[in-house]
Amino acid sequence: MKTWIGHIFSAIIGVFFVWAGTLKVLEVPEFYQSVLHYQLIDGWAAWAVALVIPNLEIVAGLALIVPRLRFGGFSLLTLLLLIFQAGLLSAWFRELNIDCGCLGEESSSIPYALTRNLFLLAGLVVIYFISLTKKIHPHD
Amino acid sequence: MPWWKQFSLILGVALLGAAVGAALNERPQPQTAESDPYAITSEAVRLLPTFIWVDARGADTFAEEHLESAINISLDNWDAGFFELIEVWEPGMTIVTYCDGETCSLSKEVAERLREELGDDQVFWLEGGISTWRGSDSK
Repeated sequence: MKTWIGHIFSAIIGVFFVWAGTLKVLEVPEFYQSVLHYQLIDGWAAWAVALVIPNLEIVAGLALIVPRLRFGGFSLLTLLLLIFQAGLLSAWFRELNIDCGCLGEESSSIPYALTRNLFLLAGLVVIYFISLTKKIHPHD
Repeated sequence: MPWWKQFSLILGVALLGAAVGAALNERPQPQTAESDPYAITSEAVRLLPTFIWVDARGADTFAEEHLESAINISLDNWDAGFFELIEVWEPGMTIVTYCDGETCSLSKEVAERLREELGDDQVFWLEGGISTWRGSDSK
């Protein structure tokens, strides 16, 4: 039963990231503008982020769904979410009036995106305890 | 599969995808006064006989500080500012939008939307934003 719950959580979160990454991969110049809106990086650094992040979301999302690659997908998605949260909080504290840019053209405010990411992080914590702890500590 | 192989595989495929993306997409060039006809420098603004300042930043930032007589029109709270603008604006009057600095693109976006909604192309965005304007002010 626990195994299936782990698979279901992984599938839901994995598909979400594949979807989010695909929306951005299809519109890289628009995502580049979203990255610029955060006013944290610009120029080639922002372009590199706009190219790499969506692809990483897609591949790590797929990896999360595949049990043999789940630990890699879990770790990279957790890292990505923490980076996103840091960027969003930074924009929030600077009172930047920007759209999150998380889901391509779909508009979502910064507080909404922060909350959604917290739920995703909670989902990843569930996956960690259900699906990954045995793999990390095989003798437990 | 060991963790480092998983990481290498995921990062490798993601970087490959990024490389394909780089080949298929061209980085949008930053707009400058030379490439964007709607960019305007601080020096050019000072030569304008009359114009309306539009602050494209958020309401909270606007409340903290803004240029004198500026009207706040942000993309998230468009209607209130837009109605305030059309009370003072007449066709042909020049509007200059601004936001924070070099990397801020809100002024460009607000200027573009104002041109569309007003049906008038005399809407420009300030190059370098409020920081450059204040910098040139102190020279």
